[in-house]
This record gives sequence, C-alpha cells and structure tokens, in this order.
Amino acid sequence: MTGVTKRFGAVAANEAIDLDVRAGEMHAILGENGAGKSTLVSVLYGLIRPDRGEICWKGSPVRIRHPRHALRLGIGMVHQHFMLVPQLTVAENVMLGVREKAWPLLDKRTVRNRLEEVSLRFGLRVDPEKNVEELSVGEQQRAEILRILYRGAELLVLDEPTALLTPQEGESLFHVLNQLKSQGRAVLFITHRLGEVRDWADRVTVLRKGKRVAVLEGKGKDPKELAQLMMGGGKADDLRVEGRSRSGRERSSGDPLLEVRGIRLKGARPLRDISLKVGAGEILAVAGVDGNGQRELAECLDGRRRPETGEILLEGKSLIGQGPRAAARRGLGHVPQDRRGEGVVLEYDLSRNAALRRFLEKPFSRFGFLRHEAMREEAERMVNVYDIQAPGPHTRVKHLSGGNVQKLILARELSTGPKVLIANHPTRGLDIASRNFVWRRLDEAREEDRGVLLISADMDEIMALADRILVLFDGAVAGELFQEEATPSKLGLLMGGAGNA
Amino acid sequence: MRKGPWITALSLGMGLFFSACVVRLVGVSPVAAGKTLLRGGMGDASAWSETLVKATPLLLVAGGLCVAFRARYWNIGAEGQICAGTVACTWFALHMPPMPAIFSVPFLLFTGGLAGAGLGAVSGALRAYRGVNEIITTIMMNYVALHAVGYLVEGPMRDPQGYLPESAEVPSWVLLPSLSHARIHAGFPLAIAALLLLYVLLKKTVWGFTWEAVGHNPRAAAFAGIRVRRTLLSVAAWSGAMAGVAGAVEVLGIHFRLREMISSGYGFTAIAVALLGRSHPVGVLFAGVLLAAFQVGADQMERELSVPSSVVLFLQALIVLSVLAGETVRSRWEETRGGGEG
Repeated sequence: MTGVTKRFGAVAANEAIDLDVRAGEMHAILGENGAGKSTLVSVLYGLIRPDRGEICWKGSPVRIRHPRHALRLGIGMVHQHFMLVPQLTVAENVMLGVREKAWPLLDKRTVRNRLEEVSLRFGLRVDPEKNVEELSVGEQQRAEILRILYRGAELLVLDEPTALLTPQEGESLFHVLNQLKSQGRAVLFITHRLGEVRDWADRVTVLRKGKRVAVLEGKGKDPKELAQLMMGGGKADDLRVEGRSRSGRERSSGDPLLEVRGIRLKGARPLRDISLKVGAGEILAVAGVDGNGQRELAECLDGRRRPETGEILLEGKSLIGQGPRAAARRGLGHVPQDRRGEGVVLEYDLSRNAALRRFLEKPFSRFGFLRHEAMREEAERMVNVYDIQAPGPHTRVKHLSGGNVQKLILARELSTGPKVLIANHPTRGLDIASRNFVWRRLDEAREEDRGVLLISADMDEIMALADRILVLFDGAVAGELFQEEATPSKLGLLMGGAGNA
Repeated sequence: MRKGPWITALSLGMGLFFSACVVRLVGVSPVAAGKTLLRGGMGDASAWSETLVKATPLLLVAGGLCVAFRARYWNIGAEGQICAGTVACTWFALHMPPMPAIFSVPFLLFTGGLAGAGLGAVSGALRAYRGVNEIITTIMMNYVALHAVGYLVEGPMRDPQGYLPESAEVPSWVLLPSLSHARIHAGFPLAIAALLLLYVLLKKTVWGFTWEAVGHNPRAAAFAGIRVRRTLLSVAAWSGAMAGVAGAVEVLGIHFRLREMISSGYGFTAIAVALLGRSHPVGVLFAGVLLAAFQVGADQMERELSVPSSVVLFLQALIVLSVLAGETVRSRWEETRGGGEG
C-alpha cells in the first residue's frame, strides 16, 4: 500500500501511509486509539475506499471494491468481534457464502473433508461439528481463521486479535500464526500491546495520528522505544493549556471530594479492585486504551451501574445504589463518553437538552408541568456563555456539530456547579478549536476548586491537563504517576500492560 | 414555507388515486363510489352519529397508543386490552349496588381502565425487566383475552335466561347518557376530553418529556436519570388503560352487556389511527374520525353499489400505507434539509 489517505470530514484518519507486507512475514501495526490502524486495514479489506493511494497485490495494482473482492484476491480478515453465526456449527459457518460444485445444494461432506485437510495442515484444531456458541473465545477465533484459510487466503489481517483472549490463548494464537507464516502465508495484525510486537512481529509499522512514524524490525525491540514512537515522545509539553497557572502548586491536602474504594464488577469487562481519590482543585486522569474498564468505571461512578463490592464516596457520603439523579443532585457532573448516544437526545431541541438532567426540578418544572420558558432561557444562557453555534434554542441537537454538542453537554454538566466533574473522552473527534475550548473549561473547573476526573486515551490531553495520572489496564489500576514523573513512554508501557517489563 | 404537510397531502392523494384504480377494477365508477362513501360516512346527521360512535373507541385506544408509540413501545395488544375492559366493566356493573350514574359510570370506566392496564402491564413488565419483545407478547395476549371472553360468555358470565352466548344486560343506572335519538352517546365527548388531556400530558408535563426521551434515546434517558424500565412499564399500562376504558365505553354506551366481538377490530384499526395521526392527539382526532367514516361509508357502499366491504378495508389499508410511505419520505427529506424546528 502506498500513500493511502482517508479523511472523515476535516479529520485525516490516514495520511499518506505506506505499508508493505511480504509473504512469509508476520507484520504488526502498532498505534494508540485513533491512530488510524483500523481505517488502514479497512481500506485493505475493501470496507472503506481511500481518498488517495494505491494498493499493489502481488506486484500489480488493484482496487479492492468490497470484502468479497478482497477474499477472492486472497486477503482475509479476522475482526475483533467475530463474524460467526453462534447457532451454527463450525463447518456450517465455513460453508456460508462458499460455492462448492454442488451449488445451490449444500455439499457438507466435501466441506468437512477439505476443512479437515486445512485444519491438519495448519495445526488449527477445532471440532467442525460443534456449535460456535459452545466454543471458547480462543476456539471461535481459530474457527474464524480456519474459515478464511479455507477460502484460500494468503494474507491474514487480524484486528486486535488478542483483545478478547486470555494470555494463554493469546500465546497459542501466535504459535498458530507462526505456523501459517512458515508455510508462506503473510500475517498482518493490529495491536497496541508492546509485548506482542517484541515477541512475535518480524516487522512493525508504527502509526500515530494517522501518519506512519516508523517501520522497524519487530522482534526483540525494546518496548520503551516502541512506546515512545507510539505516543510521540516529549513534545506534549508544548500543548499545555495556555494560561495554566500552577503546575507546581502544592497538592490539595484536605479530604478528597470523590473517593473510590476497591470497587469490583463482574462481566465481560470486569473491574478489579479499583481505588482512587480526587481532591478539590485537582485533575486526576484515568488513562488507558479503550475497553480496559473506563466505561464501566464511569457508569459505576455516575450511578447507572452498581458495583458488586466497594464504596464510592462523594464528600465522604456513599453514592452506591442511589442512581444517576441523586448523584447529579449531590454534585457529580458527567460528560459522557458517547456524547451523541448518551449525552443528548438528538431529536430534542437545545432547550430540552439543556434541561435534560434536571427537568424534574425547579425551575424547569413545577407540579409536573414543564416550564418551557425556563428551559429556553437556560439554553440561551448556555449558547451565549459557551459560544455554541446554533440557529436558536429550538434547533434540534441532531443538527449541531460534535463540538457544539460537547459544549452543550459541558455547559449543562457545569451549570449546577458540581463538586466533581467526570469528563469521559471529552475531546475525542473534536476539531482543535473545540478541543482547546473544552480543555480550558476543564482547567477552569480545577481553578474553581472542583475535582475533575478525566478519563482519556489521548496522551496529549493527559499530559496537558492532569495533576495525577492513573493507568487502567484490563480492569485494574496498572499504575499511578504524578504529572511531573509521567512521560509518554512510561504511560505507554503501563497502558500496554508492560508496566513491569 | 413548511413542506411537510404538503407531502402528507400528496401521499394521501396518491393513496386515493390507487384506491380509485382498485374500485375501477372491481367494476364500479370511482366517482360514484367516492360519493357513496362520503355520504354514507358524513352525509347527514345519522351518518355522522354512526361515524362518531365508531370513532369513539378508536380515539380512546389510539390516544393510549400515542403514549406507547412515543416511547417506542409497540403495543399491538389493544384489542385484548379492550376485551379486558369490557369484562371488568360488565362484571362490576352486574354486581355493584345501585347508585346514581354520576358515581357508577366513572367507577365502571375506571374498572375497565384498570383491567386494560393490568393486561398491558404484563407485556410491559416482560419487556422492561426481561427483555421480551412486546410486539409478540401483546399480540399473543390478544388471543388470550379474546378467548377468555368467549369462555366467559359461554360459561360463568352467561345470562341463564338468554338464548345467545352473552351476559345479562347491565342495569339502566350505569349507562352512558345518550346524546340524541341516534346511537351517539356521551362516550364521544369523553374521548375528546381524553385527547385534550393527552395533549396537555404530552406537551406540557414532565411525563410527556420522559416518554419521548425514552423513545428517542433510552441511553441518554438513563444517563439523565430517567428510570427507563419503569417508564416502559408505565406507558404499557397507560395505553392498556385507555383501551380498557374504550371497552367499558362500548359496554355502557352501545352493547349494554358482555358479548364476543364487542371490539370487532378497533384495537387494530386504532394502530393505523395512531400511525396516521403521527402519535399526536390532534392528528389522531382527524385520523380516527376519517377511518370511522370510512367504515360506516363502506357499509353504505356495500348496500348501494354491492361493493364488498372487504374491498373498502382493502382501500383503507392502501391509503394508510401510502400515507405512512409519505411520512418516511418526509422525515428523510427533513433529515437532509436540516435545521428543522424542534
């Protein structure tokens, strides 16, 4: 692939990226969230059309139109979330979409024989007669790989293949991939785990913010060096919020505003014994790669979920089991992760969204009757103070841009003068101006002696704002750093689960 | 300036055009058919009386469905909930001590509403707390309720003196007052009052706000602290209650006893009414009266032009479909244009 560029609106997800994968090679793509990894492989697999750039397959240029086309060429992809029908057996899943000679009749015997042959050749042991839903996650993944090999894929693309696996399953996956490699197939995998690159990749392409920053020999690479490349070392300091006043001020010594003690949550994305404290006038950043428990933590804090054990205290009093309204009333603001999906009702206008959190209370309603006037005034106030670009208070929020929606949410969550503000990925996907605006507001909230819990995966944001940084990995606290001692590479190591390496 | 209503009108026109084609195919002049239909449904006082009698349950039921549909709770079980209302109302009417109508009628309407709400709440609870699809459970509940009524009028509640499978007549002091010599009764103004109340609820109160927030975005509603499950349960009960009241109104205004087929499809027609009326009380008022007039006019057409009334039902479906298709076009059009009013 050469010069692949893909823009979504003003954001360049990929900018002139080159990538080459050789036969018999295990190639890793390394990068943070939003570095453009998934976009790049989606282009390769025909899911997204690039704006510019060229793909050469076995020496001749091709335009990959859709996934079936990619498969026909010999490019197979294993998605992070498997594309198998759980109720069908492995063999039946392999059959889906394949035309054997007997088509349109199903020729189960041929499929089963060929499947056996393929699985023997590559050492992929899966019982073809088992229903997919009975398989473990690791087995399902093998079934998925098997399906692609059955169709004759020569290049396997895997999107975060170990994200859902246990370490042991991950290990055996890479043994299988190694075997494929030794038989001349090429393997391309996306990861943010540094250990995997060090242990398995022949070469690694590092992406950062949609650009390729390096191509290196993978094996035996020092994770520290990789982390530095991935995070963009050093220059975070220039991005400090203008006018930030007191990086060196003594830390708040009083009682913490928000205290979390040993909360646990079971489930697919568990929380394992998380404790943290946010003091007045402090920004605590919770850093980590997405899907390591941030969403679950935020939902526990704002009252939507109830942790199995542990305690959440706001100003020393428990928040557990009280629900989101009580939490909000007691002074917990929350700018949620999915701003359009959970922060606002898109079909509602600005004024209704401005009152969304407090419509049951004065001044927005009395005796069960809504007071549209009060809602409108509130919306107008927010539009003025936060400079929200909108035709008027009765514009539906679905017509606003992401930055303006975020401003509205921020305005709403700060309008009650909360003690603690949770800001969950507050600038993801925003343009620079909106991002700076949000950053300034968060910094102001700290100046006003509120506690801010910033959940983020954006290294620049964390380095620019945080007083302390706590890193989540796999639902647990992987480490905690003061701002002065944090460097991108240290954080990268912790975020990649290589904290002890 | 606003093109929305025009698109609706256009799609209605297209529906009428298609209907005319169908009538032509059946071998009747579309103009004559249209005239008969209109005259039958809206031609004179007695036609209007009959239309409003038919519109009464439609308006009540569709009003309740507005609530459910706004919360994106698809209650298809109004037919059964009407039945529940008829049973409860009749039973209490037959067993309560004599008292003036000013007390008895509201009480009986209340019992009907309660029964409808109870039946609706079963499906609502299954959806809210167990994630069972409400479309399926409400449809199945229709059968349960319909056949339960069949059993009751054959067995426990059957009038021992009667020849037909129906209950004894309810006493005269529980009847809804009649409004004229025709069949129209106090149920119609009641339905109008209900729609008015509904309008206030939807537009002016926190409940309407809650229902719609849950319908548009349950995740945002939960984030804002709305109890989404409880809201779903309550809209299920609300819409069931309105259907139950409609059943009670039919008993106390028209039939005076429990029998099978009291509803004869009001619960289903009301879905069309609610959809045509865009789940808005005013829209429902027009759609309900229109479809009622259609049904009354259809009988006239059958008598005069010997067009089978099933053809009219066919036409009704055709028109509803065209208007709903128009709605889709309209909302998509508003989407692309952007900047619409809230």
